This record gives sequence, C-alpha cells and structure tokens, in this order.
Amino acid sequence: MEILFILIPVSIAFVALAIWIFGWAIKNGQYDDLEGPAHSILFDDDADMIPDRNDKPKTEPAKDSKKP
Amino acid sequence: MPDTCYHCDEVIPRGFSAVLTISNKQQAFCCYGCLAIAETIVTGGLENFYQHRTKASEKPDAFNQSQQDELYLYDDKALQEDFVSTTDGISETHLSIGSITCAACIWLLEREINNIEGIHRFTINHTSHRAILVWDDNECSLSSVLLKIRKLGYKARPYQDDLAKKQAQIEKRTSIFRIAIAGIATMQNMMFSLPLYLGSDSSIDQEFIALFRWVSLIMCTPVVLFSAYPFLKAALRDIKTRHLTMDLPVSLAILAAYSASAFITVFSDSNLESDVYFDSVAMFTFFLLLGRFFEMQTRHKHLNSDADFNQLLPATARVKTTDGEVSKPAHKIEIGDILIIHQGEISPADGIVVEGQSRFDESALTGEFLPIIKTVDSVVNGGTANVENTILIATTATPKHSRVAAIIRMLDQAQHEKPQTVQLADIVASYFVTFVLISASIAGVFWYFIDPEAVFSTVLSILVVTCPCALSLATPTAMTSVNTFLRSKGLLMAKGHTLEAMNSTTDIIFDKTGTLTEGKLQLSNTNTFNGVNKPKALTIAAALENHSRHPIAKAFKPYFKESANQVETTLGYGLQGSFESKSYRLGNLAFALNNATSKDKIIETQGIHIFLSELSEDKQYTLLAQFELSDTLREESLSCVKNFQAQGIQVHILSGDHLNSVQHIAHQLGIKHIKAAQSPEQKLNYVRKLQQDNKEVAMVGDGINDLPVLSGARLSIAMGGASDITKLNSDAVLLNSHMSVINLAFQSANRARKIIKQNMAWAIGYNLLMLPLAVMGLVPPYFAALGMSLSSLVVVFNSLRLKS
Repeated sequence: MEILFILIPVSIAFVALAIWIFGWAIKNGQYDDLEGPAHSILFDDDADMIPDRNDKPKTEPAKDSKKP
Repeated sequence: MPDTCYHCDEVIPRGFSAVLTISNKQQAFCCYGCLAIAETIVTGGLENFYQHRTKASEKPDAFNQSQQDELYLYDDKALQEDFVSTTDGISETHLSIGSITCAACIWLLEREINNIEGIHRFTINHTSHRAILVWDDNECSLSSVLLKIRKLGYKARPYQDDLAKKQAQIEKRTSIFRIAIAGIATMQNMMFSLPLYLGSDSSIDQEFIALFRWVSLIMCTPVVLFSAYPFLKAALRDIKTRHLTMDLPVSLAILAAYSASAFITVFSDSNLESDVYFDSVAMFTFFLLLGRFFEMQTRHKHLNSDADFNQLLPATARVKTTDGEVSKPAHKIEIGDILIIHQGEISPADGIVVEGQSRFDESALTGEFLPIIKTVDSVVNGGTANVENTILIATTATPKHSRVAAIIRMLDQAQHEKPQTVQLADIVASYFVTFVLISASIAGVFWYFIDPEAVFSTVLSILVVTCPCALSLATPTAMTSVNTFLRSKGLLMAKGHTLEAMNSTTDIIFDKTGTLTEGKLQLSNTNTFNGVNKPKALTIAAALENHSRHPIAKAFKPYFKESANQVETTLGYGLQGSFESKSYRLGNLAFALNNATSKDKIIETQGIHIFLSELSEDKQYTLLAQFELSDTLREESLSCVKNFQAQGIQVHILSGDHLNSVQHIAHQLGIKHIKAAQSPEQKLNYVRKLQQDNKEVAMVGDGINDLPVLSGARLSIAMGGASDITKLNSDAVLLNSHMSVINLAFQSANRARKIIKQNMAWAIGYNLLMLPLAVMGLVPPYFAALGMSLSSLVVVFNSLRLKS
C-alpha cells in the first residue's frame, strides 16, 4: 500500500493541471456563452444528406458494358 | 391564407397582399419590409430558418437611402480607429446585434455572414448578442457586412466596451472559476474522506489517516481562500456596517470548520476519534456558490441583449468645413462646428439653426410625437430626429454636455436618492443571525465549564444545524420561481426588490404616449368622396407619403405599393406629387383644396385629419379622401387601470404632452389625477411630493423624458418599446404590449410574499427546534448537515409551487 504515497501526490498534480487548464479555458472565453452550443447542435443542415426513400443505395457498380 | 405575417407574426393590414413561395407553400407578409427579408433569406437557401426558429422575428424598421449612406461612414479609416484593430490587412471588431429573438436568428446570421467573400470569422454570443467579426479589408468592407445584417432584418453597430459590461464579464468568469475549484475539491475530498468514515481503527493505518487528512487540507485550502472569498468579504463588510446578513454565520462556519480541521491535522495524533470536516467545507461552499451563480445570471441578463442599440446620439457627424463636407466621430465635435443634418438623421449635438428650415421629431425628449418646426435661430437638441429637410446647425454644446446628457446625469442623482426597499428576508435574517451567534457563544461558555473537550464540536454543530441555508433559500427560490413565471408572460424583473416593492405600492403613475397608448399615429378612419374606393385612396396616399419622414407617413406605410413621382414638400402643409400620371395633393384641408372651400361633408373628431385631393384638367382640386389619424389606446390599458383602481391603488397620468390630448385619454380610462406638459424635472418633483406624503410610488413609462422619474420612483417598469437606456435603468421591463401582465405581476408578488413567509416560518421553526438539541450536544455534525439539506429541499419545493 506504500504506493499510495506516490500515487496520491501524482493525482494532486493531475488535479492541479486540470484546474490550470480550466482556468486557461475560462480566460479564453470558452465559458462566456453557456447557451449557444446547446442550440447550435440542433441547427445542422443535413436535410439534403438524408436519403430519399426513392434513392436506392448503389450496391453494385453500374453496368455500362452493354455495348454490343 | 393566414391573417398574420409569416415573418413577424403581426396582423396583415386589410387589403394588403404580398406573398412569397417558401418551401413550396405560399406565405403572406404584412409589409414589403418583411417580404424583402424573407426573399433575402430564401435566396440564401436558408429557408430552414423558419422551421428552426421558436419565436417570431421582429418587424423591421424602415430602411432608406440615408440610413444606408450612414452605414458607409463606418468604412472611414479615421472613424474605425476607435473600434477596429487591424494587423496585416486582417481587421477585427466587435458588433452588437439587435432584434435577435431566438437561437435560429443567430444561426441565420452566422450562416449568411460567413458566406460573404473575405469574412474570416463571424460568431455571435447567445447570451450577450455580441459578435466578433474578423475580415480581410482588401476583399470586403465593414459596411457591406452591416448592410447584409440589416437586410436580414437585424441591426448591428460596432460597440465599445463600457465599464459595467466589462465588470459583468469578469465577475462571471471569476465565479465560474470559483465554482470549478470548489467542485473539483469537493469530489477529491469525498474520495479521501470516505475511507476515514468507513474505516475502523484496525482496518486503516495511522500513516494513511495522516496522509488523507493532509491531502484533504491541501485540496480544501484554495476553496477557503479563493472560492469562499466572496462570503468572507461580505461578512467583513457586515461587521463593519453592523448590519448582519447570512454571510456572517456562513463565513464563521467555513472558517471554524476549516481551521479546527487544519489544527487537528497538523498537531494531534492521527486517529479516527477526532473528526475533520474538509469535505463538508468544500461541499458547503460549492452549493452556496452554485446558488449565487444562478442568481447572478438573471441579474446580468438585462445588461445584455439590445442594450447598445438606438443609442441616443449618433456615433458620427457631418461637419461643414471650408473643404466641404467632412465626417468625424461625434466625440470630436467642438462648439461652433457647423453640422449638416440630412433628412432622417439624428442630431449629434445641441445647436442653433443657421441655415434651412425643417421639422424635428422630439418625441425622445418630450414625449410629444408631432414634429416641431425649426427655422433659423431655433434650438435643436441632440438626440432629436430631422424629419424633413437638410438643415445646418451651429453647435452650442458638445454631445457630452447636451440636454440628453444632462437628463442622464439627473438620472444618476435620482437613483442615488431612490427610497430603499428593505427586504423582509433581510430583517428576519439579521435578527436570526444575531440570535444564533449569541446562543452559540453562550453554549460555548457553558460547555467550557462542563466538558472543555466538547466545546468545539458542540459550537460547530450549532452553527451547522442553524445554518440559515433554508432561510437564505426562502426568498431567492420564491423570487426565481416568480421571475421565471413572469418572464414567460413577458415581464422581465431586473432588480431584486421589485416584488417587495409591488406589494406595498399605493400609487401608480403612467406615462401617456407609448405607455397607455401605442405611441404612434395610426389610421383610425378613412372617408372617401367623389366615388373613389378606399384601397385606391390609400395606395395614392402611401405613394406620396413614401417621400416623407414625418410620423404621419409611417401610418401609411402598410399600404405602400409603388412610389409617386415629382413629390414636393410644402413645409407645414403637405405633399404634392404625381402618381400614375395624375397629380395629387395630400395635406391639411386648405392645402389639399388650394384654399377653395369644400363641397363635401367633412367629419370632425379628435385626432389629426389629412386630406387627399386630385388635380383635374381644369386646374381644380377635387377632394378624394379624408384620413383620420390618432394615437390609439393600447388594448389592455383600460382593464389594467380598472384593475389597479379595484385594488385601491391610486392611478395617475404624468405626461409631457399637451393637456388636451392627456385629458382625452384620462377621460377614456377614468383617471382623475393628471398632469400634462411636464418636463423631466417636474415629473420627478411630482413623485418626490407624493413620496413626502408617505406614498409608495410605482412608475410605468418609456421615454428618455421618463428616465429621471423612473429612477426616482421606488418601482419602475419600462415598456418594451422604450429606449435602451430607459430599460437598463428600470426595475422591470415589459417585453410585449400586454398591459395586463403588469396586473398579473402585482398578483404574483402577493402570492410570492405568502410563500416567502411560509418558507421562513418553516426554516426558522426547524432551526429553533434543532437548536436546543444541538446546544445539549445531541446532534452529531453529519446529522446536522443532513437535516439542513432536507430542510432546504422543503423550501425549494414550496417555492416551485409559484411557477404554476
């Protein structure tokens, strides 16, 4: 169990690092807009990417070697 | 076809028709302005906007050539110096965007603007409605972006940080950081205190106990020193001002628990007999901070949104110099400068007319909505709009010292002397806190004689068990519930004391124009003569009025189809022009008939009448139509006033307008106490006099002229159409035009007061019950913490009842 004497200080170092990164993110304005991201994810314009029922996926390569 | 506009959801005027096919469906619009915006959106391929949005868009203001020219001024490098930073040809600026109603608006704007060639980045903050714009100066100009935003129906203007907003941002960032530290420390501390709670002496080595405690101490120190700093600072202030609030026991509990735990960690033997409370300290701080953060968010909300808009004075001015016309930033205007004010522009400074003749719309300053004639030597106030012709004025006061600025200074003073509302919670809390502190010290002394070792744990238990958590939640939770509820109805409560003030109001004062009435002229009646049909008459009138900036012209805007030609304005009389190769006159009766007498039957009523006539081939003017215009009462004004009167609240009207029109409105509403033609100073004095008679005054208004009186009254409510500075300085803002919401707010305030009282009774009752047990040393600290949380939950749930 003596390993705890090393692991716990290491975990403190990680926590300190996490706090530092968090502080950096706040200073950079990452948390200035707490509402926007929640909305913007809903506005994806993927209407044209959703396949129509009539558009059948092309499973086979088109056979255009019908030349006589 | 629906009878409301697809874009702005306003009612489509009768006889008006404008349609556009959107997503294979025909949609109708209320005016050509809305239609143009919808066309822009559809051409950009963003018709999805209409599916995404959750609220209707705002109806766009008129946008004419001179306003467009004004946007081009922003390309001037000298002017840009103030708000644009440029490196290597890449410029960056901050814009404030107005008229955003929901998240889809932001999506639309970001998509459209980022599609412009040369734009590197354009993002809008959802909370503050402020945008960062980065663009390449060689590929596009700032004005083109502003113009595009305008064409989509929004307003944009470069903004400079003011102190209040900067502080708000710093405050928000720091509190997020405080919360983060407290949160992380709480989680870490839990992890290390769990083995201490669960372990027994045999299962855990002494050295690990010491290690866990030391680690907890390290984790907890920043929480006390940094996260809990606001509480400590407030507690210190309480001691200095001898006004006790909940911050004092909160700080005492935090400090005592922390220092005792630290003492145990450093000096005593590591066994499980003595307790440490690091985890409780961190968790306690974390939850308190979280509560305060949500409170702060609501407080900041009213600072944002449209606050930078319709600023009273324009940012630029056109100055006449020997080299011709030069534009310069308004703050560089000097006394004696000759300013050129075109039709439709707002005067940037006070001055005296030196050349030209025109009319000025002074409604922002006086509430009078008919323009005032200005000739040579007349005084023109900064912030008033030129309605008719280009005019030259010699500056007599710089923008800083103009009349508008003076009114705003008066506002600061009035705010200073504003009667304070002492909150119920504050009074109760201050007594309660004193009581807790006294009993804790008596118990401490008592236990010192019986069992010196138990002194600390007993005192700590007392402080925790009586922790006024539930008491401190009693008011804010009830307020938040009511605020959320009223917000959904369209009333934004900006300041904390609003609800309390509503409960004790004895007198309510309304402004007339823009508050009880719509504040704009509307066509209330049309009579036609000599066989003309109404739509035809309206079309002709609208065609002529399209050339005028007079407020009367706005009333005709919905009927506008095509512009008339060769329109000439005769100042003070009317307009003349040709439409579909016929000549028409529109104006007062004498002008329309060219001083001939009328053969037709003219109706005489209250309001403004204008007449349309046609010039026949034999040079005779024949009357075609009579239009009656008036400022109409808001739909719900009457029921609102009646409601207040039924509650025994005295209703007054205080207006800058003429006695005649005020009396007319007062008569319709049954209001006896009226004052007309009041200056801002007189209005403030009127309120002061009422207050001297021990009346609690609430004021509802909208204009700049109402500003000082709004701040002087104990409770102020601004109308949604009010200028932004008015909204910013009011206690509450009515976002829609439903006056009945104000009644609803007063009723809710009453209910909230009841709920707050119940909450307090519960919180204090619970604490008083537990206090003797704690004094006797029967409550272990963990039980005290558990009970405290349960007691708080009861309060929260009780408050939630207010939402329905």
